Amino acid sequence: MTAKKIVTLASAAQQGFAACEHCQLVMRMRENKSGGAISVFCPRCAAAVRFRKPQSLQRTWALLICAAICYIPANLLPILTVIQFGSGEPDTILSGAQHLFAEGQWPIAVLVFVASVFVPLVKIGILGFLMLSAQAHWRWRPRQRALLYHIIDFTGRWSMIDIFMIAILVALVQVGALATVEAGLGAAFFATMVFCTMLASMSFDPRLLWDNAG
Amino acid sequence: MSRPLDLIACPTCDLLQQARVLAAHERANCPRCGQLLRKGSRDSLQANLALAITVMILLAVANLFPIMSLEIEGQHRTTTVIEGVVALWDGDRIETAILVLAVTIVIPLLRALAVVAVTIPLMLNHSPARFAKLLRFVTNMTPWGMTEVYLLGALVAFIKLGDLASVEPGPALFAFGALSVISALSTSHLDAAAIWSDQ
Repeated sequence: MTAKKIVTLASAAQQGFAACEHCQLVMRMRENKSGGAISVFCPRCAAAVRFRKPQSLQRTWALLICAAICYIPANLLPILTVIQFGSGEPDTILSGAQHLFAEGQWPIAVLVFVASVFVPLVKIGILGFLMLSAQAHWRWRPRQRALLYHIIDFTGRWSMIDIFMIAILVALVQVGALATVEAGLGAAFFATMVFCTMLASMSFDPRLLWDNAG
Repeated sequence: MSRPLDLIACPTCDLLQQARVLAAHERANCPRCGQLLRKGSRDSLQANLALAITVMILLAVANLFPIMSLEIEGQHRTTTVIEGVVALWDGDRIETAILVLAVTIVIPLLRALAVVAVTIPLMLNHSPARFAKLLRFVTNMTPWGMTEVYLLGALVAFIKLGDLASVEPGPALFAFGALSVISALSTSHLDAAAIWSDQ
């Protein structure tokens, strides 16, 4: 195999190279008769090597749609019910934040609102936008779009704040007839939604933002 | 294994470029997208091992001691992470209980154990090829450990309860505070690609 001259600003895939996702070893990929890459395992660390994450767009869309569907009951159904003296008042994420705001705990109210309502919605919106831009082969500012991707990939986990808060309240507030706290069905949808958005951003391949973008 | 051509393909934009040996504290960023590609100084295996052992000790404190205690109408209650998981399970939120258990206890613990199991043989100059799967497990599990997010959730619960009753922070809350710092350090110190390229 003769050494190919490396063209400046060309992707590895365009030149028939792929990097191992785990150990980053770059290797030349051989093609089979039909032109597709044959399955290759890294000679150094034995991980599967591919040009791009497998079925990135299909997987990301599926997970993103699942997250968007879960977002609705996660916000409409109660996540928490505080039962005091036998009668309970269910709280949704939004009404929980409103209570905190009314009690004068506005920094915490803002934190809960941003982490639970705003961040997931923005994450779903941005990831959807990035997918459309990759599918439409946009040339517009791939570097800025990749930065958006890195931001949503990092912030997704912080939406779990509400779930952890509930996990503490249900165990702590169990004072017999006086007051108990129950987790609502909204919490299950909310946890599923966060889980799906995390998987969605992991299955998205930012390299698609550069492919065909010149 | 010899390296005929030391090439790097940027993980964010796939730009293929020639690698260069970096001086200590020098960083190589991708010229097209700015992604950090390599660091000049290699984080020592000793540091990785020390951080992983610290994570395990802090996880023990975080799980065995109460996060906070509540005093309401003469009744005193405390709770641990596990009791929170059990209460969710008993309240028929089984899927949520499993998720909380996984991301706050099981995954951080397994990751720390795997780091110890990887770094000790590396320090004894064994090849990483013998535990390649374990090293991959460490990298794959990293985004799923959420001790720092749990800390924030616990602080929100603490402030929420502050209006209803008198609450006291427990030792586990402080352990989670320390864990968020130490596990972040442990994550940024372990560079699987650097471990492999040292071979």
